[in-house]
Amino acid sequence: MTTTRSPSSALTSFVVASRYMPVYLALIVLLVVASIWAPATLSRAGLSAVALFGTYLAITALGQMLVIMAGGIDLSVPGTFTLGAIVMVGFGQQTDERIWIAILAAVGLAALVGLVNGIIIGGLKLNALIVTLAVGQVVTGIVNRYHKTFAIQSSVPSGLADWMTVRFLGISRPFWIGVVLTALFIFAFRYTTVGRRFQVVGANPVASLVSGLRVNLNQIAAYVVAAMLYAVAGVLFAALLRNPGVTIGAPYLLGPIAAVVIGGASLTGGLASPLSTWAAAFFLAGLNQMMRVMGLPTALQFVVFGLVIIGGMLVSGDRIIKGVEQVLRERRRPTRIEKPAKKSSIDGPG
Amino acid sequence: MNTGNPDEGSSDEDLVLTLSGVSRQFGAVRALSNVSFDCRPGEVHALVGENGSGKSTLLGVASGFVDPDLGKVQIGGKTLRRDSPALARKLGLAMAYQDTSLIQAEPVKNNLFLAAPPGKRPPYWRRKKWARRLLGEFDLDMELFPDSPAGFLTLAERQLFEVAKALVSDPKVILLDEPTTALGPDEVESLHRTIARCRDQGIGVVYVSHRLPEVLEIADRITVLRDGETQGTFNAKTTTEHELVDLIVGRPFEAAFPQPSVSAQEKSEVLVVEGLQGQSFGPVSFTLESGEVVGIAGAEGNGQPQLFDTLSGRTPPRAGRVTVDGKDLTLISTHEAIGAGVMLLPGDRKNEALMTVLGVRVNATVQSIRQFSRLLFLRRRAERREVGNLVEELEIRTPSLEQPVEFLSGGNQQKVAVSRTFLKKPSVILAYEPTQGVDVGSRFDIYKALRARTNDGAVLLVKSSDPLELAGLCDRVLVLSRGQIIEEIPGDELNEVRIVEAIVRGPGLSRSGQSSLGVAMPKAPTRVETP
Repeated sequence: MTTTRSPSSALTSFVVASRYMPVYLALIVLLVVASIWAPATLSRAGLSAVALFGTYLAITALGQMLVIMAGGIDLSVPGTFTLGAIVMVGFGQQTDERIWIAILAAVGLAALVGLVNGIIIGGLKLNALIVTLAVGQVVTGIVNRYHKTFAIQSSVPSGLADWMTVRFLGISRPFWIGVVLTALFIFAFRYTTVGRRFQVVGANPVASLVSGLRVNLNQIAAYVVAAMLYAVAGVLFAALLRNPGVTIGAPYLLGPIAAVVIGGASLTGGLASPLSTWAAAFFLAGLNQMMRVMGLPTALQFVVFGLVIIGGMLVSGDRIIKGVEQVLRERRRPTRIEKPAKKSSIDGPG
Repeated sequence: MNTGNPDEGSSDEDLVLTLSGVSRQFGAVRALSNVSFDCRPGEVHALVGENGSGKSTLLGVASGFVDPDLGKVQIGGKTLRRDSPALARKLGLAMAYQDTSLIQAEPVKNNLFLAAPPGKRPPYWRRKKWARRLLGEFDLDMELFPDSPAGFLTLAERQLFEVAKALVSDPKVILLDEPTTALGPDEVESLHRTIARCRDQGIGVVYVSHRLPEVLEIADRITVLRDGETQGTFNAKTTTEHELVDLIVGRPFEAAFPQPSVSAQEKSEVLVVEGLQGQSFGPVSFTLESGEVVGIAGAEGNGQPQLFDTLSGRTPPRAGRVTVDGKDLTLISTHEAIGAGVMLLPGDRKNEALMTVLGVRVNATVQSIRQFSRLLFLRRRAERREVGNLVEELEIRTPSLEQPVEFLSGGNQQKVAVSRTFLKKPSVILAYEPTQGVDVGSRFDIYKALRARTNDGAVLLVKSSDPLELAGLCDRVLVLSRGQIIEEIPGDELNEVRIVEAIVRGPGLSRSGQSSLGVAMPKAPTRVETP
């Protein structure tokens, strides 16, 4: 007979959590390496750059995480990210009164992009990789055209740019927005029915359909919410740059996917941790900063970044679980074989 | 009874296949423990046992697909050192698979060409003629075969082709895994002629089947497996079907099913199906009254999965009416079906029932999560308590409620799926092969759990390929053939033999037996000729 508090309970928790461990180890390694070879990374200026760029990456990565949890992948991130930034400038018209209108427009239009993605992928069942790539192209095209309609030196409302510069507890405000969003997702997955259903559908869409859950709606919602997050990151990025160009989204194609993978998500869907994804984004931002401090040539930075992602995949998520499972099997073998067969039920019920 | 080997005369060098002391464990499931098995040249050695008794694992070990934890495999006197199917093939072992190994998009001739070892392949451009000649030897009508894509073959044709494909490599020993599941009597006869020819050529044949009459007809020796252990090897000439059944089941089976409680509740019609028609079944009509357990029997491929898919809302019906608790259903979505109280327990647990990477608790409350929430927020403590109680009640063996169900044994996985019916309390439960891959011990728990639901007033429709299970669990049984209900066996006539007879006799057939149809694929080519 089993009880819910058997000693293996701790083992189970370990197995379940083990997939999210590598990112925290990587963060520690990064801290150690940086403090020895590139201490400037950990200076005040270095850390505040990491806090800022880590946050942009983290917010987009949270979106990508939702899509990957739903069994898809989103390559329209650069387009939607840029859309958010450019719409912020265009709708803001450099007047502080229009800040909120511009933010709503940016996020709303991005949601529309997500809806298109979601309907084509979740509803019409087309391949996510190609659909999002194509939709991203369309969005990029439209944003480029739209960008040409206003003066080249246009910038975001100065109120927004100023808001950026104020620090809270010594760290710039966007960082805290990232923290709040991450906490929100942690809470949603743990404590709400919507979050629970979302995890269930991602873990096995076929079984979810058989169980009567609305699989399509969950998938569509993933793309919509993800796109809104990209736009939020875009708006915050525009606030930093004041006068964003139309190519600012480009680095956000691979980065978020890398963060999600290094964060231990299962690429087959369902399993991911907002906290580890957030941490992974800061790991990648920290790595970037460290390479810059060390003065690595840009070309070499790309190479290292790519290698780290592959390395991350080698020790991440699904592979860890497989390894743990293997170890458990070896461990169990002798004990289980000696165990007598289950009680006989010949006496009948009662 | 005749136990032990009938004779120990032949020496080890003669054996074409030897497995000695083989054990293998999958997760927590012990699939094989210390099993020894051998096959002589020119012999048909049958391997029988229930689903999940370890037959497929044994074949996997012999053919090099599964790496045994302990034990040794020898093919033609040479030891198979690694778990390598290619090496096993090289040593002279061929296998005809149950779930076919064909490349669906490629023509038959190419499939056959690929199956032949390089030394035995014809020049590439002459493979069609070669294929036609080879297939002709197997009583397969090959006029159309060589060029049609393998995916277009009927199930019966595929099964026969699998055997032909295995024999192309000129093996010393051939393994046949349930080679007759989709075959009608004529095709079985044709297959048995092929097997007899193999025997005459000195090929050893390992024949895995759960159809005992067939086994007794074709086999020289029979080995019985139960729960991963051999129950002995017997001479087919001196063994009876009854003795084998006792060994396979290993328990007086009547005692292993829960008795329905005679409750005083008044009967009401819960599920009414009228003229329901769908893809490859129908029209069918039947009614289930509250508390009833009704079985669906029939040979595989007679519309059973389609019927269950339609009733559960996975594929919309073409015609007909389904009423649950007096409410008409359109059955256009599973969402609607679940809402109306129709819950399917799919046969393919890993893919269609469970979220294997998630924990026991989350899996149990998939459909009933709203009961454990207030507004949008989960009441986690209530959820944990309810699922914890169910884990105890259904005796689900798990180290914790958060254990991912992929780490549980088949029986415990099925119990997790069954636990959903306790939380959601549907009025109609559709159980498709509820004990497939489930160990004998857990089976009873599952029967008991399902009975507990029906004693509460739910109805249960069970599809099972195991007549023993149907006879023990059900109040009555409907026999399905070619998508039609051809017979209803009432409770007082219900026993294994009666069900098997109904299945093998087929529809509308007098006892004179002018033909034997309806058991399997109607499209299969039947060429009756005496050898």
